[in-house]
Amino acid sequence: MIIPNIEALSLTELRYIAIKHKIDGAGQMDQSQLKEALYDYYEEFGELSLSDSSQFSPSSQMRFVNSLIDESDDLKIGDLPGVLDLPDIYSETSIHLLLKNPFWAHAYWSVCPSDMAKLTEGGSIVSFFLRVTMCEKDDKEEIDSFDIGVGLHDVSWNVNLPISGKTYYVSLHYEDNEGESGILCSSNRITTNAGYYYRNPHVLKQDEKKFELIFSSLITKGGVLVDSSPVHEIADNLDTKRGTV
Amino acid sequence: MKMKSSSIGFILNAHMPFVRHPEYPRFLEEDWLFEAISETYLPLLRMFRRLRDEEVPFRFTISLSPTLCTMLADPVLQGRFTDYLKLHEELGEKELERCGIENPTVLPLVNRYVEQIKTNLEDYFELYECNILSGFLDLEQSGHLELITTAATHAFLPLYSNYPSAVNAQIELAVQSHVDFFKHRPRGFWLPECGYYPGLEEYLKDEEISFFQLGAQALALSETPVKRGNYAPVSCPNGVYGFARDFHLTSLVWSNIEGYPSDPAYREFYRDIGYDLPIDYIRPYIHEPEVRVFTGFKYFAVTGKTDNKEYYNIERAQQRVNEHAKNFLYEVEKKSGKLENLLDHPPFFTLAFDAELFGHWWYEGIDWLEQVIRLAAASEKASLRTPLDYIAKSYDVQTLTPSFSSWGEGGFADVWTDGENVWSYRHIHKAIERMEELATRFPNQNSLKKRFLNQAAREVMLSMASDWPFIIHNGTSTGYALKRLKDHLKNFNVVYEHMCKNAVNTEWLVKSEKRDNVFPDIDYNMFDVNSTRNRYNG
Repeated sequence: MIIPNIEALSLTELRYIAIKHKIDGAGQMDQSQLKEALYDYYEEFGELSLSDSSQFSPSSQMRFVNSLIDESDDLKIGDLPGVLDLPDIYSETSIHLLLKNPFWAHAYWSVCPSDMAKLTEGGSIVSFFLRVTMCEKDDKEEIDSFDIGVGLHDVSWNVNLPISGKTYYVSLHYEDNEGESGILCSSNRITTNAGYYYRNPHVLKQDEKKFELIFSSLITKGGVLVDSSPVHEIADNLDTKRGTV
Repeated sequence: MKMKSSSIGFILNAHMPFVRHPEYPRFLEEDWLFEAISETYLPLLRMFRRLRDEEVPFRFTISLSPTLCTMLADPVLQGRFTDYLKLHEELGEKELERCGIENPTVLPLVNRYVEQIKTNLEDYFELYECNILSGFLDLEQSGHLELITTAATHAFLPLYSNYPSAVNAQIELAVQSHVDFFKHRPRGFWLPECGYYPGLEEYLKDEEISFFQLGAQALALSETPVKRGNYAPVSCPNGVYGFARDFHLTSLVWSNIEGYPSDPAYREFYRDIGYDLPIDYIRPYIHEPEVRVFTGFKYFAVTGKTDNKEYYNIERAQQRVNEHAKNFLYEVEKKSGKLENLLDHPPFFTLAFDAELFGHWWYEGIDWLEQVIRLAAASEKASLRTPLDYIAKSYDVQTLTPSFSSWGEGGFADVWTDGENVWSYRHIHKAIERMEELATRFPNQNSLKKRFLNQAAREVMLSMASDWPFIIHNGTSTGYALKRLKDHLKNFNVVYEHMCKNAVNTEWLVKSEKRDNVFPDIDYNMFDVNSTRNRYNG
């Protein structure tokens, strides 16, 4: 949703936006009422909650905006001949894992209808669960695993990665009503990073010059750290206040 | 050790997603390109040429994305840009008349806008003969610019790390496209959204790329302790250099909280006569039926957190430009001084930005750049250099693998995998797998099947653009981004379904080739999984 600088807008502009957003009574509201209504509207859609440092990220800056509100909803671009809708899932049993950040991954999967029919055949009830397996970095040897119960009709899940610097994969499992279980598919492996200074913040604590060298390019003039939680964790671990370049 | 001088390395990424709709007389999202040409690219070229004419030394790195280059060289879009300029010229004349009676205070600014449109028209027709790529090439040939490329459709590459053929296609095709437009291989590569994952450099090396840019935290989070912070590049183990952004200096410009662009004297972006003036007056200059859009005619200054905006004052804004340029150089020199005892050779400050920040978002941005260049030219302590200039110095560099990172919110892939857009990877990854399958099953086809398979490869590439999930995340033109993303995937499926039956849908092929005509020399065989997996051990 485009969040214009509400404070900057004129009555005409505010009214136009409010009407487009179908805010009741917008045509009769005065400027302060319109502002209040728009703030409420954006807040309702969770659009006014960017963290301080995220506003320094280029991705929070608008690109490809040539209007004050999203005008593309009424778009009618024709389909080419012979084009069909995308399927919800594909007819195969597979699972994939995407690394979102060092602490979370996104798993998506599909179960082929014939596999599903086999599992539920004869009225036997099955449940699914995801097994998240953690290995040493770039190693196949398993260190630990944990299970997450998912619904038969779930097709994706955000998976927490408890320890940085490890390799992970997920597998989709079933369990029938007699407690028997089996594996349906396994994902690709992903490896998370555990940076040297993330693991060894004391090095920066002990060496002021090194601290300045690293952190002076990660912080704004006003003292806001770059939007990266591992960097924030390193900073949090440094209990001695240090000056910056 | 005493340092002579620090280097400021500006890297600007000029990019637009491929948006071209000849099936419509006028198309809202095509204005993204037209605004960027008229408010950023043409004024930027003018500024560079002026400095060159005055023999002011400078070196800038500019990434021109393959999709942008294609659109800049496209006759349909060139014609439409001309219409766009002429329409705005007409509006300018009307505004001169209206403001002369109703609001003389803003007349100097209206005059300035009209002058800029007229100069744009002149430059576009006479100087560049409708293709501004020649302007960038000319400045590169005179040694002022280093032109580099970026992923073919600006894909956020970490999300395709499991698909070597797709990553390779994004890079190989980008280089091929750069050679087509500029007749030489690029030596640098802009990582879209600063998206890096360990191993990506292998693909870059294969394409003879010497350097790429990184998010600010990429070195600090490396598994090897970085020695020189972000003040020197690192060499990846394979010898490709990574330059990490200086978040401190970048945010002086970029931040919408602390940055220069938020100064009260500067022009307010959001106040535009496209919204402010009565519909009957403005109707011919907005979109049909009555979709109000920005026209570029904006008369107010940021002023402050008030709706009682002051009119923009050109002299006052120009004064702030000069002050901010001086302040920037002061910050650079101050920082260099403090680093003097911490580094063994002069620092290189990497300043990576979207090019469209300058002129389009920050109206005074190009004037500010010009002043920075002039001040740097006169400075004994700082100079403008490119990453290649630094590499040529053969300083000792640290070998290090950067960390997975991006410049997006959160610093990783969260922007491109949020609750609204993450569904798309199921389909894009499947399309890549199927494209690999087609390339393996039907290698080296001729004639119609070759065209059919090449079009499939185009559709896969277009679906991978980082712009669609970005727009969906930001909610700015969601309907359009969703439609485009789905269309490319659905179009790909047409080829897949037909090829599985050993058939070609010629009606679809002719129409899709006409619509999505990017990368005329694409070769679907680049998706052959055997060759890419062998190369990258995937």
